[in-house]
Amino acid sequence: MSKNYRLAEGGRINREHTVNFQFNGKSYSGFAGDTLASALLANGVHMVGRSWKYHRPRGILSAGAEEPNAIFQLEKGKYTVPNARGTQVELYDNLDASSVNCWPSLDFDLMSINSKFARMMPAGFYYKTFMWPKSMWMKYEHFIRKASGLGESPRQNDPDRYEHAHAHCDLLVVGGGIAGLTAALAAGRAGARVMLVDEQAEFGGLTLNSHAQIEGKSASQWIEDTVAELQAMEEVTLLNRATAFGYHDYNFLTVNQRLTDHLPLSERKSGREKVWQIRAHQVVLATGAAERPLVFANNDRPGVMLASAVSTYVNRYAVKPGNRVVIFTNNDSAYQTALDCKAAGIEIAVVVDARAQSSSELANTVRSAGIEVLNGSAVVDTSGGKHVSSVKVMNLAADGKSVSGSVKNISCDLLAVSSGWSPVVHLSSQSGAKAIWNDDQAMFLPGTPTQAQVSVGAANGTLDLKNSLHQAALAGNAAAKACGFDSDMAAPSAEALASEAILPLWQVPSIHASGRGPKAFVDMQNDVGVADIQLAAREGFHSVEHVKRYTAMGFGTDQGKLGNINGMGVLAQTLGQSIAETGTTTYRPNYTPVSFGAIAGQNLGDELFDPVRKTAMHAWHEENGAEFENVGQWKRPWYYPRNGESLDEAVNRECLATRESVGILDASTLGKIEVVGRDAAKFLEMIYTNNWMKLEVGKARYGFMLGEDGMVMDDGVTVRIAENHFYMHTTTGGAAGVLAWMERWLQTEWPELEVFLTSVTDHWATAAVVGPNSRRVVSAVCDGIDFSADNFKFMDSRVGKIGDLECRVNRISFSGELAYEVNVPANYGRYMWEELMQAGAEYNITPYGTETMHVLRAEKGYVIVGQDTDGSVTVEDLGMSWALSKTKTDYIGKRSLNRPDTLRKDRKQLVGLVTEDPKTVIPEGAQLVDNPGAPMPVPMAGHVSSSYYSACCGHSIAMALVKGGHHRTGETVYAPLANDRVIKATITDTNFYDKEGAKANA
Amino acid sequence: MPDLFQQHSPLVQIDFGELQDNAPTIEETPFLGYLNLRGKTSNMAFVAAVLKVLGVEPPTTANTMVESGDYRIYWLGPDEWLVITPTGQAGKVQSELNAELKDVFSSIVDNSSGLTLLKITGENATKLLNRDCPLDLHPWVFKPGQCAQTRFAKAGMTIAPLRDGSGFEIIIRRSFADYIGLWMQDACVEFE
Repeated sequence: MSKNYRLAEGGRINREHTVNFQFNGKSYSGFAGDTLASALLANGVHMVGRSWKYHRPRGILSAGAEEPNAIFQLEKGKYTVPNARGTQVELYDNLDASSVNCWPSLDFDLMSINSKFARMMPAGFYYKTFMWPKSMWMKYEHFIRKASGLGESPRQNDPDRYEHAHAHCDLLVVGGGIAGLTAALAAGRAGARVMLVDEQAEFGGLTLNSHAQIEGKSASQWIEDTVAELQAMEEVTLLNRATAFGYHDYNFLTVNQRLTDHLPLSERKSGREKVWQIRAHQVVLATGAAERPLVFANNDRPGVMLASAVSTYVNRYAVKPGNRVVIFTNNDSAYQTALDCKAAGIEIAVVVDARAQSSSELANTVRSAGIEVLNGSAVVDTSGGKHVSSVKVMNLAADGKSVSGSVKNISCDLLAVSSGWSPVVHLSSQSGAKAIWNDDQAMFLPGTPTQAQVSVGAANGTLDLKNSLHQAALAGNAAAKACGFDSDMAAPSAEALASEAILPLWQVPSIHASGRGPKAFVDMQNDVGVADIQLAAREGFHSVEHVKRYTAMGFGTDQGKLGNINGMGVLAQTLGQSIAETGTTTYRPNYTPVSFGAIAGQNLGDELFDPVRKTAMHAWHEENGAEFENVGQWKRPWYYPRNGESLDEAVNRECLATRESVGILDASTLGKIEVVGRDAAKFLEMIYTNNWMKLEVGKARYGFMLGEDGMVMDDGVTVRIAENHFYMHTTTGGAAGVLAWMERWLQTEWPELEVFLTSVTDHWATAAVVGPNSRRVVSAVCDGIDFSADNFKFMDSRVGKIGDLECRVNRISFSGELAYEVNVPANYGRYMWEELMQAGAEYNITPYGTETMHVLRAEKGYVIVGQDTDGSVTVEDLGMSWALSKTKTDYIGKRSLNRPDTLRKDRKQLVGLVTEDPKTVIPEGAQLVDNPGAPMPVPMAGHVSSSYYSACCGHSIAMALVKGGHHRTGETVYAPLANDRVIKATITDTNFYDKEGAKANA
Repeated sequence: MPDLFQQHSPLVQIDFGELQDNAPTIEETPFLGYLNLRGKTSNMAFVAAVLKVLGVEPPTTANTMVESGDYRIYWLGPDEWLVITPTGQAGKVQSELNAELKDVFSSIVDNSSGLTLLKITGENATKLLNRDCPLDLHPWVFKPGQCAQTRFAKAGMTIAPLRDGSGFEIIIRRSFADYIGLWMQDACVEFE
């Protein structure tokens, strides 16, 4: 395996820097500047994997993003990367690569037995075979998944960082080949803001391989100079190792830049990948073209390689992919490969050209170099085990439809193939321009743009240098002009090269009947052959989209970049129609796979995945040991365990302390909206179900908001601060929605109302001081308010002072206790809280969290919108009809309250539940039935919405929505649990504590 | 006036002091006064009252801000502005506006504790903000005198370029400030 296929000189590699790496556990070495693929080829390794379905040996086929075979699992453990394309993986020290889909090993693959039965595993085989008997599918699936998997996804958390960035520019150029560089140069010289992104480490694209001259210097020198000039421009940004993977609406493109993948693991710092979200006024697509392979029997044998890839390995990486090459082509470009091979000292057995003649300058140069050219011929089959050892050549009819004559066996260890070129129209197609088939060039060209974009160079089907440069300069100038810059850069000069027409050849005619001969592959990653497409057509799948799905053509990680066009050609031929009529499948993002980490970026973990909103007293809660719970995006104190208390123990203590003396709750998260204007009361009359016109200034009132369907949407207490000024509370989770809801009504339905709404949720910090001693605590802290029961009644609102700080105190209760809510600007929130704590110390003031708040309110039967309601519950269902005005002619949702469904007597209605065993707490969400022994399906009577142990009552309490529940007081219901336990409970009203309400009014 | 030393910034748990060497400078200017002003510019009485108290008419060009003495007025919408005052002056300005606008359809709401202001300056200021602010912050496009309501990561912000070109000021909500602070600290790892 240590054969040396490295050329003695040349290439863009750094021979000073030897790079050691591992492949399938064996050690190899290459040079800096190699890809994993070029380094393996330099070591004589072609065969790198097994195919997906038949486990056939597969070798390196290409040198770029289109590679279907050379896909690897990189590294192990947390750094592992599945399905990396070895043709694009830059070699780094100690790279650890292994083949995917080989079991137990690459050379000895048990699953290759599938290959022997290939004829019995045609397209649709899995669908047809393993669906019966149905009960066995799970077992089959397990086996198939194991046998046909590609790379393995990591099992450990990804240790790398990923980042996002937004960018804007006048011109975005995708592709840093000579066309892209020229377009960027034109716009850049004009002063435009230009971004140029290219997927490779080095700019220059395929021309890096070339011996051509641009502006009188070598292409590589021109590239170097141009990149340097662009880099010096202040408004130009060049991104290398950056793949534009999506083209979206409004010239919005997504680009994934790989920042550290080329470095040894130990040198990787900072972010691994950065996803750029780029909005460009103009886009130039210079994405190049990909060479197509030819389709013939056993065309998948290692040692078969795209002709342009052979040139790339020879010229760019100084690697000989073989010692004796046969070149098989239907067009001119592979003749350059012949010259490249000759220059590298590779013996050229023969050039097999499907065309009856070839007489272009390039072809003649090849002939005069003494290289034999067989015109009107085709390679019909290959031989060799895990590597090509010879090919069979026959005469090909001028129309390409049949082969004849004797079979010539030609020995070789490399077969370079070219079936012409496919412009990389992926991004153009994604942008909305439907690719158009061109018969003369035998390729899909970019369609008419629907966004401000244009394709140039090979991406536009222009394969010669001179015209590419010309197009690119024009496009760069035009883009700059469209953005207001004066630009008329002349195209860099280059020599024109005439070429002869291609002979489209989608499949080399087989000497066997369809499906009988050796397999000829169209999609190598998914093992789709010519016979599979023909079978699909015979079975009635004529739409290219259906054929794709039936055969799985183009479904691999390579998304059919190499095989799809050949497949469409085969389908067109089979159906006797043109390729234009056959059409393409849809090109969708992502152009190449993007790691999940890159998509998530920094938005990970408890702190950054979603905003965490904190109140002004958050630090105090942390310092005092609070456990937190998420309420919407807020972090609210849940409970404050002392000395290792459990949740239940802490909550029982907090409940009792509050009811017996005084507790304090951070209520800052409630939504707060100021409603101001002459029509404020009139507006609230429509928003709420009850009356607001006559509410006195300095008084508060509780109200329900309904949706247009009459269902409870939100609730809260609103205070009249002045005649035309209300201060509204919403639920914590409902704040933003309620504001938007009210703005909608004001702006669209009642623009004549003089009302302004302003959110002040963040401005106020609120402490609820709750319990029989709350009056003593707040009156010790707040000056200027007469707290006497007669002068500061339940639902009154007063303004006072804490020191010199103005505060608003509302006597509101969500616990049934005497309670005050103290509000100050949030910058003073912690100050107020500490003042209250200090004043409350002599009463053992006890901070409590949301859990105790829930228990206290449930003991009084106070509902929580969103817990005891679910969007299908009316005010009447809650037993709170008193909140529905009988006198108002209208309010939002009123009309829906008279729908037959809302009037049903058997609606689910809110009731209380008391369990037979006082210690048993029914799980929230439990279903209730009348007869747990009834035959299945047991009729459901309702469900439990809130359920707690009440230390104050000495037994568990629950609220439930039960069908017709308001008329079922005293009846028994059962909650059957998943563990077969059945809890028996009695229906009660929802008021479990201090039924007369004496405490709140104390 | 209350004891200003009793205030706590929403960023009390965030330290921007020890960021990476090449990170932009992030500094909070806490405790400014913020008034949310609503009114109709078609009503001359409203415009005149604002001019009288603030010394300048409310800007009517979308996404612009004006300065007048110690006050800055940001356009937030066709009938909504944010008035920024020096520390401790919001109450006084609110009273003056209320007095002048007594009979005019308007609303002046104190939101001083609801917002805070960060200045992000230095070479990489734009880079940091564009890590997850989708707007074009290039000086050709976003100039002093302009402002915009946008987002940073998943939280809203109002942003304006600083007059001297050194960076930006952003105004963020109190309850989201800690999240934004943590996000920025995390983003600054890039600037090692």
